Amino acid sequence: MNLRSKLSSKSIFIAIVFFISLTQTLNAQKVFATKSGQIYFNATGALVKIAAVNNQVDSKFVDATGQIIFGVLIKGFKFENQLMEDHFNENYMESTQYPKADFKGYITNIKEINFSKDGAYPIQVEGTLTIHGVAQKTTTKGTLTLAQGKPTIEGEFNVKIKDYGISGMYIGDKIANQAVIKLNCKY
Amino acid sequence: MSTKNKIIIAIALIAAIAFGIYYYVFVYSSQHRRQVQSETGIVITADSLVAKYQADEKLANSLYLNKAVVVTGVILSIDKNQEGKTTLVIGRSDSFSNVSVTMISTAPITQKVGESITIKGLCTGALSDVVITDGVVE
Repeated sequence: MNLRSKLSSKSIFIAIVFFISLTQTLNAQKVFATKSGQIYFNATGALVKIAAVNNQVDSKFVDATGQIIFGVLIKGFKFENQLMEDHFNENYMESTQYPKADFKGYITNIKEINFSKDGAYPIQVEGTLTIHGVAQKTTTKGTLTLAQGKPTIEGEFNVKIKDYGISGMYIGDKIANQAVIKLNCKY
Repeated sequence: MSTKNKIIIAIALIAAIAFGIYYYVFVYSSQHRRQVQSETGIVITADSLVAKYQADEKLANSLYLNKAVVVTGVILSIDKNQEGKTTLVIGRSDSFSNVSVTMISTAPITQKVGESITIKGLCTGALSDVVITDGVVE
């Protein structure tokens, strides 16, 4: 066999190995998704309970990279009180103009999670949270629980309402300056 | 009319107005929620609704966001959300995006996956699917 055909065979071999390893990597990567995650919002101020829940959180994450996204439609937040819901949409969130909020980022310690072993794993999340058309870098902590291989992500964090360009006469009084956001997504 | 009587009437009026505001804000508004089912819905197929959102989300929002819609499509999946309410995905199995519906109640539906269904509910916009809440079978 001459040098040229040796090189050619070697190139083919390398290409095959590369293709197999790429295929295995792609197979190994798993995307977890839900369209019915839960998010709670609580901005109870001095007197009145101001809280809502949305059961249609759209979220996906990739186990190999930790890339994670959450999307939520503002009109989907349900308050106990219809008037509060209307004010939340019209006067504060302006949901006709800004109908959705989202988070795009990474679980930065995804490598510490053993997806083949059930249990509760603390997670750190970094990314960009966009509410009311305003994007802010944010970091938070949460828990990823694996039960029979199915993940659930839970987290709680505070959002300074005015950081997202949301204004209104009752913020800081009847409405808290910071809203508490609780997330619970079963994938 | 004496000054004393005028003061009593003024206090009574203020109290009545305050009670009226309190009742409307905290009692009436808690007991009377928006009844999407009693509103006239915009009739559309799941395919058309998805196509309109994919073509121009802003325009589609101006037409359907926060409006009652009556959507017909094939059931692709039936599930329960974390609150126990029935959820459906309707549309086309080969479509990248479909219509995701959360029913108003936990009651199961009689239709099966693969059958056609018509749902009336509130359109809240689009994420990876167009989203409908407070759905009932028409």
